[in-house]
Amino acid sequence: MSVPTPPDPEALIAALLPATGIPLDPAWRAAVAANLRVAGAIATVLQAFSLPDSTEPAPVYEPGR
Amino acid sequence: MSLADLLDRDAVGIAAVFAAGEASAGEIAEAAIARIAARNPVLNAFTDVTADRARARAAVLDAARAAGQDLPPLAAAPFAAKNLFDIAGLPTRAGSRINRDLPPAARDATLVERLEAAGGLLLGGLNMGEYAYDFTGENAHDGPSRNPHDPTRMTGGSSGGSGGAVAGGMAAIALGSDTNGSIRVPSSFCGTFGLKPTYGRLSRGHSFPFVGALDHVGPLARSVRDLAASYDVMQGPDAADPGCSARAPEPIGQGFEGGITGLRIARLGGWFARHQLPESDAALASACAALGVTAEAELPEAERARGAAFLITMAEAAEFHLPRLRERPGDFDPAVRDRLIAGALLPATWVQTAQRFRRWFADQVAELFRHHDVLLAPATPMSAPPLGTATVTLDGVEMPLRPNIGVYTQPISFIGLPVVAAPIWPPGARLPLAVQVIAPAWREDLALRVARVLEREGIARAPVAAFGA
Repeated sequence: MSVPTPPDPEALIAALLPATGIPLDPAWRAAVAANLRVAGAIATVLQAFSLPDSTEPAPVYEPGR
Repeated sequence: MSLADLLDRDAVGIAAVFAAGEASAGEIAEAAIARIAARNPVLNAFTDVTADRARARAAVLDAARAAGQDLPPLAAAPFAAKNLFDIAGLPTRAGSRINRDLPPAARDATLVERLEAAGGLLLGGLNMGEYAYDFTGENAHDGPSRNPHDPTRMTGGSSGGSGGAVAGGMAAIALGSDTNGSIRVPSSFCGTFGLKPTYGRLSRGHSFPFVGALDHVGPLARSVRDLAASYDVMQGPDAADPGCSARAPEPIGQGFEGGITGLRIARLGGWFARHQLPESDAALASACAALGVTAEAELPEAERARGAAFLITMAEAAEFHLPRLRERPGDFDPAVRDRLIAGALLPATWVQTAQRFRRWFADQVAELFRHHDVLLAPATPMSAPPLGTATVTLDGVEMPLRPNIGVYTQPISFIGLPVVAAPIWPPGARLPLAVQVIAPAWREDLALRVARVLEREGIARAPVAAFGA
């Protein structure tokens, strides 16, 4: 099984920012990248955990409300 | 007894004095208004003071008492609400600059309405970290909430003004919200009792959201009986909150006096013992000694649970604020904005894994509760840091302070468990630090019983800070 590595924050910003429509001041870019680096490290650890196929997501939704 | 001394009592105590005819609601309102005028310039807990409304409500209560009518349980007790709760006539700023351009709220939040119906005197709206994305109580627009026990220190956040108002003696009860720790962290830093109920127990109706999947609301107060009394009058379904349970109210009454005989209580090890600083060690040890707790339990994968809460928070909050990020990014607190923009860029699979992990973790913890009734853990690794502190050394490693304040609270709210934060003052401590008393879903009663024993033993207490004025 290939193990994912934390993604390059700059690559994520370049690929996804245009689709958000958020005007990013260049002065904010380093801080956004730092936050993405933290999130990427967390996601890598989280996805390294093997969840059973039977585990469904747990969002909040109650039919009929 | 002076009116100032009266304000240092808890809400149930103030209501008793009023009911006994020893003070009028009008006098209590004026005393509270005067105290806010004297202390708020230092503590910066209130962002709006609703003095006329408190006076008008007090007049109604005085008339009711004069007419011999039955008085509601919290009659004449001063309370206030974090400024993400709607207060009729005020824009619901939610700690932001952007929201103060909103029209004034047309009505009150459900919980404000219910506390006022129970006799509470609403004194105003309270400072908070911007859009509740905060653990410090610092606010880029309104200035920081300041800790009543040492105004050079943080209140904790994001319900910073709520902690400051209660520990500063300006309100007996304050409403807060808790997504990842925002009731429990200020309770820890300011030394107040706080109740984060089961997810869905109390209505978020007519409050400004942060993360719908994780948002809870609840009271901060100076006694366990005040938590119970306010919790009882705030329960009940509410169509205005899609996450609010349809369960009928399950009032605690005096059930918090039930003691701990027969309860299986354990302290959490693993993740919750890893980062400890001397003050959190001491607080937990004091609580365990008082309760005779020697058993230890482990929440499996608590670190991943914390991480999953972190990712869901980033992504949901980013989507919620997307229109504001597009239109007015320069008007955010920069630290909040940069986190939200990053949240808008997370791959969807990260967030979906976090949501599936949530289910797995909840199942594991439910299994753990087959063997234990109540779990104990520190609310924060550290006691209140000085304002402006940027880093903390945990486990020998220097880390950014802000996100790490919530390392012990996040895994618990992630799966919606009820928690009472009980403020502990270990021998010789200058500052408090709360212990989380964690119960299975829908068993707030167990958490309140354990917290009450800590209070009765003098281990947990929430005094009004000594203040010159």
